[in-house]
Amino acid sequence: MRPGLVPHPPYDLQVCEIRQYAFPTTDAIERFERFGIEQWVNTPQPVFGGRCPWEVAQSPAGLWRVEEEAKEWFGDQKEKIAMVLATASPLPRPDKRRAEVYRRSGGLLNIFLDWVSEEDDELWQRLVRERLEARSFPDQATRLAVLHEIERRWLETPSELFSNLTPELVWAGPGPVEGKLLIEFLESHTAWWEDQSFETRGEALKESLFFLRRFQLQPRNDFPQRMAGEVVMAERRRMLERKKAVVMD
Amino acid sequence: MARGKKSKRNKKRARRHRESARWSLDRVVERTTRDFDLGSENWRDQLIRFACGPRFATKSLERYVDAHQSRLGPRWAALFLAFEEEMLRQSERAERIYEEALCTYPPCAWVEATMGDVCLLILGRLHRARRHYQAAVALEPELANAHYELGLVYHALGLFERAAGEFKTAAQLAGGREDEREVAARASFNLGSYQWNLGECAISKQLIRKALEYMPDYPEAQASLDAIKARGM
Repeated sequence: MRPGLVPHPPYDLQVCEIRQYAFPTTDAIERFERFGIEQWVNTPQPVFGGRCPWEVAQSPAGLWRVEEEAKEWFGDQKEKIAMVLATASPLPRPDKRRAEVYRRSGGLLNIFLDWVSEEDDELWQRLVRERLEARSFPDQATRLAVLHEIERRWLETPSELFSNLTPELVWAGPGPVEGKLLIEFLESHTAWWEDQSFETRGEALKESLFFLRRFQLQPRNDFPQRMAGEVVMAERRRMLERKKAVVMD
Repeated sequence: MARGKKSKRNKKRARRHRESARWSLDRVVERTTRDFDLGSENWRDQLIRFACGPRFATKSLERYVDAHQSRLGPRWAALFLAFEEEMLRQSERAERIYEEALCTYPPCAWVEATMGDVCLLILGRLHRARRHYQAAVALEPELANAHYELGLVYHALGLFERAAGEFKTAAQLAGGREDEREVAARASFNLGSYQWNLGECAISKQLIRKALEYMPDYPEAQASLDAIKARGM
């Protein structure tokens, strides 16, 4: 199996450096592209007066400004612009956030995992079965309230589909530290990959995931007493708190 | 020269296409029935003879066959053996045999565990592999290898606590079986590594020692133990 090498869009356009990274599957390449978009949405931009695109996108006029700026960054690729808008859009309702979570990259900890959908989500299926379908409701409003309640609960429960991140941490997206860690990880993974040969897709993916988990569990010198996985979670928690204060009901 | 290469590649592709077009479940059943000499009288014995696995797993398979004998038969035995062959050959056809035939029979722990291997090692579908291994251990809770593989999948998915739970079960089950000592060793070593990450150095050292007891020729475990000793722990 040949390594999947894809050019990586430079984060710092002034440097304009093209790099190549190895990915075990095409799903991983897609996740990486999504990650780039999510990071852009969560990064303060000078053009918005130092605010992040997601903050600007809280109003319809702001969303339009984000769209215009995204075209400057990502070119006139309709699919990518649609992804930027979906990522930046305010989603105060838990049902909208829930649907969006499955489309998010999941960041460093999920970079090599396959895409998942609601059908794969055993926790969600169980919550719906036990709390919604097994009961009868006097009216639609009560049913809707229960649905929103289980959606909130789902958002806050660590998920086996997202490397034990809660779905709301997946939704919150990455920050600059996770971006740097991801690049560091991909560089070391690419160097490791060049010496490997794999017979099957499964073998390539399994070994790459084990490499990722070793990186995740490695104590960091730049973050004393903490592993890369803990650093990522802490940054996502901060991002979520900021977003919660602005976006959520 | 270039044209010669291209035509060679085209011929290879055409051959592969012809082979793929010829492949069908009925042909597989026909061929396996012939190769393993399966008949309505001897299919059970032939199956047990050719199914290669640890003694406990083979006993479990025997129990399954005896419990569902009226619904199984030579066709099922042929499918089972072909499924095993395709898995060993690392062929994606194993998935077709499962999807198109084996999954319609009563659930079997061995088949589910093998399908977990297919998803993990061939297809690279981690979440699907997890579901198959979970089904295998639900059907036969004492299948040490399935617990071990499930632990590996949990680890790959970043679910470290659950992985540790599965490695612990695998080590306990396989530790008492003479022909599954490698599983016990690998499970103990992985559990030791997990404890090391938690900062439990003494427990980690003990588990890695145990791994070396099960399998003295285990370079990774020996290297880890040496590294722990070098740190004066």
